[in-house]
Amino acid sequence: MRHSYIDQYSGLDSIVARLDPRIKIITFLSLIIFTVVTPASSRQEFCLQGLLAFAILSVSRMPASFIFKKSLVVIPFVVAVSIFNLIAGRQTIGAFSAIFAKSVLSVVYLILLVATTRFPDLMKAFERLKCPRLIITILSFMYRYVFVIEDELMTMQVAKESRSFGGPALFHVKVFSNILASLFIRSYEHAEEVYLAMCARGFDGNIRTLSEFKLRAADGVFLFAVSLIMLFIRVAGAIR
Amino acid sequence: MTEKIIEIKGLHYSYPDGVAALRAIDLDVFEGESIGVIGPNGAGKSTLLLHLNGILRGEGDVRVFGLEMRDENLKKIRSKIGLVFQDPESQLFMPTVFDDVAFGPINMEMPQAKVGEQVAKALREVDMTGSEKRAAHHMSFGEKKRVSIATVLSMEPRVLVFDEPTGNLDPKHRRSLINLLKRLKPTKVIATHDLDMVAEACSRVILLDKGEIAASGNTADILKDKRLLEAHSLELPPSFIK
Amino acid sequence: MHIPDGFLTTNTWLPAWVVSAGGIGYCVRRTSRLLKERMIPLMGVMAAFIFAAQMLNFPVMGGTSGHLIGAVFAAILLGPYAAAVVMTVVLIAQCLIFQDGGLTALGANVLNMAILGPACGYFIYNIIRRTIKGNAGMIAGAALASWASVVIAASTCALELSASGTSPFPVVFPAMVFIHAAIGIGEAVITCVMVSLVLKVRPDLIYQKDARPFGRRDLVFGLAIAAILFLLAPFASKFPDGLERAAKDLGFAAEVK
Repeated sequence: MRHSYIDQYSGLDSIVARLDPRIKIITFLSLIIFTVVTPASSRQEFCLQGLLAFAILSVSRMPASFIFKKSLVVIPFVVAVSIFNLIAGRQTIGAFSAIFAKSVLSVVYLILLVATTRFPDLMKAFERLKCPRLIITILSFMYRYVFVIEDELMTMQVAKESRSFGGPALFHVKVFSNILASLFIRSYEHAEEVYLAMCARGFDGNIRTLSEFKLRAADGVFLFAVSLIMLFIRVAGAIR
Repeated sequence: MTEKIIEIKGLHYSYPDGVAALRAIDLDVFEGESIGVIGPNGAGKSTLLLHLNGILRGEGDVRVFGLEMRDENLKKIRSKIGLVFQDPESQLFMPTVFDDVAFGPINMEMPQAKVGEQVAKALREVDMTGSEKRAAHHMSFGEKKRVSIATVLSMEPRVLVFDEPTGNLDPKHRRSLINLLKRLKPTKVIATHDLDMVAEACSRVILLDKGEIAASGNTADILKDKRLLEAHSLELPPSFIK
Repeated sequence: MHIPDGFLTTNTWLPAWVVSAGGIGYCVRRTSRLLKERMIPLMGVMAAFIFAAQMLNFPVMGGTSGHLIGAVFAAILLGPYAAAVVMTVVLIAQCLIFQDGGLTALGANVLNMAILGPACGYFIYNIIRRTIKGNAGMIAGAALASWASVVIAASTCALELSASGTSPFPVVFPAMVFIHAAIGIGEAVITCVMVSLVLKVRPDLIYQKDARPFGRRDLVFGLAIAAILFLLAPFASKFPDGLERAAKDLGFAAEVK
């Protein structure tokens, strides 16, 4: 079975894809923070940031439709919060559109970071940037085994579907929970065998990987250019 | 005479629930030979393999290259014995092929440049050159099996231990895997139900049943013995039926 | 319930990040000290399991659907510290892969769903497990604890949103708590069935470290959680954008009526 929701465009070659993952993390993280702390009243700043995001998007050669579709993820939250505010009878269109702009921009930056970098490289880069090793190790196990578990789940669901027709909802919830529970036990037993396989190859409690990251001039240029543009946008927003 | 590299004397092992899994196992493995371990399901084949590198430790004497199975020797023993599990989903646990094949060498504290060389060499041996950056979930079952073997080859072990290497493979991939097994130089211990493969790739056979060695000897002698095989839930391999 | 970027102001997401980083740092240290290296693949597979389970929707009444969160289930099997680490990893993965929850908001999301929710849930589970002996106690504890973990995570989420002035407290708090009190029932039923099946098939997998009588450590733990909630409260009211504003809005809403 092929799973494509991770690494869908990681084969795509572009200037952004070739950047050092560490530089990409630093750059996009600063962009997101920069966007989030922008004053809500400064509308042209959001417009300029939108242009910047669009520029990076075109350089990355990612299809805009893909980014657009994925950025819809914030919509349910936006709707929920706006309903709450409507109930409160609070006049929020201005403030709220700023929040909306911030969240969409941040999501676009996040997608650009993740979609142009292979997930394993991303994890290694986070590790080199001093994220706790235990977290990264578990994250890489998760990345590896989520597909194995999903395949098993699919098989079990097919087996269930082929034997169940209708029935009350509570019954379905029970069947569903039982499938999940046996899936869990299977996964757990699988993990026990993985541990043995790790020991067989000399595992001693520490997982070490080799880093093949090398900083190039292009990485410096990218970081510098983006910082310069951020500075420009901030100044333009401030002198208005 | 060739060197005796694994020496097992009077090995007993019981599962945590008290059921005996291995009883009075005596086994010597000599340099360069290739041993097939056959027997019905639940005979204790996999359990025996797990004793060869000290993952399981029963009562009795197990020596590998003259080293006693003790905590302080484990690292050395495990670098000499490469164990390939049946399920590649257990054998391959790292995000990329490179990380997986490099896992053993890094744990053996090889220098960084050497690790890269070993990975390239191991992948070449299993015909998977160029797959370093791929992830296991994007590979076919046959490819996963090959990479699984590369993950131990990169440690340059003296003995290769396989659990059911041809299980679940289609005829074409089974064939290329058998050819790969025959090509590999180190001493081999192969647990399997695939008697045809044993006939081709092994010089000696151990027949296990209910945790005991029921028979051992020359491959041809054992695989020809219809009565013996059927007494232990096995059957004559098709290539021996005339 | 995953808060996206932009919905929290800096005076909320930054403190939340600091508190979460500290809390998870502590859990990582506890996990590495307490448990053997054997736990590493188990935690990884548990994270993968929860990640996969969360993508699966089950039907709830009235055509809507919900999914398992699984924090209390993880805590019952791995213990509270390892569970917090596992849930953090799941949240990081959801943030990176699905952009479900923002990067600046990650601290708040971890605080709600990986630290406070499961910690309070586990605390409740443990009290019930010790009071009612045997499997019945464990299952009842699991049910109540998983319900509580969802409601607590939702209420801290509401607290953070109102502290940021994104949504007025008098509306967002009851709404979030009410909705999640309903969602929590699904969580409770599923966790219940799952725990009872594990008890039937592999009872040895249940985390047993804390199965001792109520002691001083529990008191310290309870106080620690109270302290965190207490710490959260001031930044909910420190600035005019937050509760004050919400109170004003409420007054405004009353006037309109």
